[in-house]
Amino acid sequence: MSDQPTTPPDDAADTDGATPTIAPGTRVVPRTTRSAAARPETRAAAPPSSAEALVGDFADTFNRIRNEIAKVIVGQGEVIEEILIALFAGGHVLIEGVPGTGKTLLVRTLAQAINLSFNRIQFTVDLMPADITGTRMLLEQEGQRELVFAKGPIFAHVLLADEINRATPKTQSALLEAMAERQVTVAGATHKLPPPFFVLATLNPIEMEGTYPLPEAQLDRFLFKVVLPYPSAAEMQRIIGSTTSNAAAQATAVFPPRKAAARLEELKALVREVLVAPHIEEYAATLVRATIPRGSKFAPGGPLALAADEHIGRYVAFGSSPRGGQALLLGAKVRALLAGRAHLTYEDVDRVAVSALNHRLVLNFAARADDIDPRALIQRLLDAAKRLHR
Amino acid sequence: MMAGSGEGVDVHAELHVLRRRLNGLRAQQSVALALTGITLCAALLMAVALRAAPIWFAIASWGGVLLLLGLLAYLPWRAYRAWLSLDDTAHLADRQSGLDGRLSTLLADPVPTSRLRPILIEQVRLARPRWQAETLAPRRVAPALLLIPASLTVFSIAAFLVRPAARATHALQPWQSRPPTLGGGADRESRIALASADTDGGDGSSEKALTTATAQHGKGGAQGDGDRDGGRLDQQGDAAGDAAGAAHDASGSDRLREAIRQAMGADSEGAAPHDARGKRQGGTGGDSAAAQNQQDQPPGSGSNPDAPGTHTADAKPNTAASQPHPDELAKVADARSGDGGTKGAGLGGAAGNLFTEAPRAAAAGGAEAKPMPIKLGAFAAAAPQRAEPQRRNGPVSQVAMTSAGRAAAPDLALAQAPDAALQKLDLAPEHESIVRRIFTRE
Repeated sequence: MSDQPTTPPDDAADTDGATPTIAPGTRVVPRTTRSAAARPETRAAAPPSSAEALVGDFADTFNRIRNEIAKVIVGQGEVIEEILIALFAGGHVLIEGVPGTGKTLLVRTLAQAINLSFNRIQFTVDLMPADITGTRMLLEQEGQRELVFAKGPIFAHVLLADEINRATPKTQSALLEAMAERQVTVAGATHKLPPPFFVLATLNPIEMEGTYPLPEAQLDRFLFKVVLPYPSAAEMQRIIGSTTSNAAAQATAVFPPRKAAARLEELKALVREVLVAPHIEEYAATLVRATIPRGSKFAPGGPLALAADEHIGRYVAFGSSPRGGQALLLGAKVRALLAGRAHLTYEDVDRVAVSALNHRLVLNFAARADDIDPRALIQRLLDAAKRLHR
Repeated sequence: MMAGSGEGVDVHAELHVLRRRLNGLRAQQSVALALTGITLCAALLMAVALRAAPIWFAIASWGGVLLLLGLLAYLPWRAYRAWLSLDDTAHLADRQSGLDGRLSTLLADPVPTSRLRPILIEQVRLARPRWQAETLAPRRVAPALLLIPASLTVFSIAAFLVRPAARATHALQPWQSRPPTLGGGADRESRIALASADTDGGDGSSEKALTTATAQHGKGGAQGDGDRDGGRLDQQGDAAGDAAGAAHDASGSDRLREAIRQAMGADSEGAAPHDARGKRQGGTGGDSAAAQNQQDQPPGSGSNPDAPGTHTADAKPNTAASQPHPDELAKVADARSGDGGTKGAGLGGAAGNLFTEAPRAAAAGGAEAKPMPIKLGAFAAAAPQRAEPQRRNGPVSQVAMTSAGRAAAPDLALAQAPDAALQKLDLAPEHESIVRRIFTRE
């Protein structure tokens, strides 16, 4: 990315203020500040314009990636947006959906759009951790034998862990360190994973025979859990039409090949610069604490700004961890940048709350007996928290 | 920190101005509410004191004190709760100006090195007309301060418009609060009235009593003592009864009554040559008083119920020869019993019954008169009748007026009536020593 701001071409700018489409790697200066920025004596007042250009560039990049994915994936707009939010927030996504809904295609298309390395691991019962992380192999070179670390498929920017719940917990846990610390340790040697490292794991909600539910510690590593629903009738018609013809759609890379990782890391850094007021942090913390049942053994003390929900107390065994609060704020920051803001609002937090918290609620037997959806529980909390929007 | 930058200083300073103004308004509101509450409590207390019974005044007083304490405790707490910090001010400005948390975020400034911070500052500065102090808090004086003059107006209206309630005890105040000297004199008057009743019992004519009193008054000088007493009783009307009440109430202790009894004995002996009362225990004053009462009011109205018989026992020192016949005494007593009879003495109620019993008992017991037992509470039963406004009462200066002159005298205003009884009665020089002896603390 160039350091000097670049003005968008005239034909690329919309009159209604929409972000213009420009080549990647360039800063965007809004048209209204172009004349001022062009004058040398007024460049000292450029920071606001420069900041606005950063926000505009982020939103533009985001939208371009989404549009490239939409060329391949029909529908599922919200799922695509949530996956991209997690990507820019620096988290991992757990995708749950029935077979044939395009989970694998979605992840592969994403990797093509951002032009990053992509690996896919099909998790099975006999998969071993070394099959994921890599192992040391005895190689003979020039008459000498030495142990050389052979990198596993985890060494990629985008990793698809397909049907992750079919592997044993031992293998599943091989991802823990990689997802949390972006590194793997093999035979006492730690190997850094190349940034960005983005894991997308899929879950098959049916055929639970012979599967191993993910442990809570593993689930907590995922920033979001999104559910891929069945497509609508119109989407279904487009899917079967486009996938059975010769003209298969392909996603175009948004980032140049060698700068994609750095560009993505820069955008991720910008996300963390979004300003958060204390009352927004308090609100996020309140939501997280509200997911914890009051009768729980590990329930925190002190007063709650949000009254305890009876459904939480009845159906939830354990609530969200502080990682849930981190997910709330990071996801909300991306939302704020997409809205062209440099600060968070309550609505930003609310819009990512379901995806960020639903997989962190550990439901009890009563919830399973009553077929309780954790997303509905969180939605109840959000409805009750509306009064805190003061 | 935001204040470190050139852009942020303006925001910070403007928020400080807004905070000072909002807190000032809230403080003014608390003070106004406190003063209004106090003023309204005072107005209510005043109205209760003027119109309601004393028990209600006590209740209102305690209620007012509790309310005041509650107010003094609540208002500081309320002011403390409503006191705005700078963060609260920013939050309030965000809400009222639709800034959607921008001011709060800028004030907190969680990431000072953020490249996005200029956006926030620019947005806040552009929206400044919506959140500045002149927009959000244009007033420097809280409208609640208007409650203070309003409450003062209520207080003033209450002070001027609420009139004191007329109380039945008003007419009792003069004789209840009468100083001992006055009570002693009135007691003596009642003694004279009783003696006159005894004397007058023979003919039973009020006109005769009036004539006698007038004639004796015409004699003047030292002989006019009884006349003046009688005239005074006549003038006082209820004052004789008041004197009786005062005798057993304010200064009516046993010691005092004993002193009066002794004084009467000495007086009857010393004043016998000058006064008809010396011979037959009493002049015509009581009769003349009764006669005057008959002229001034309807018979049996009971306005002078106990004037004649306060100390009937004082007749004891008289000799047996001077005692009237028991039947005559009974007639006199019957005539004064308040049945609206021929005497018209106005004796009625419980006091009247006292005089119906004693003479008959004396008649039944023999020729010698005995002290008439009078219950100390007997006159209290007749007190409500005395409580009527003393319209007939005139100033003491008119005590010695003749009946003709008194008839020509105009009635006094109602407000003047209580003053008449408070004035010191005239005393004859020969009685001055008696009074002094009675009330000397020896």
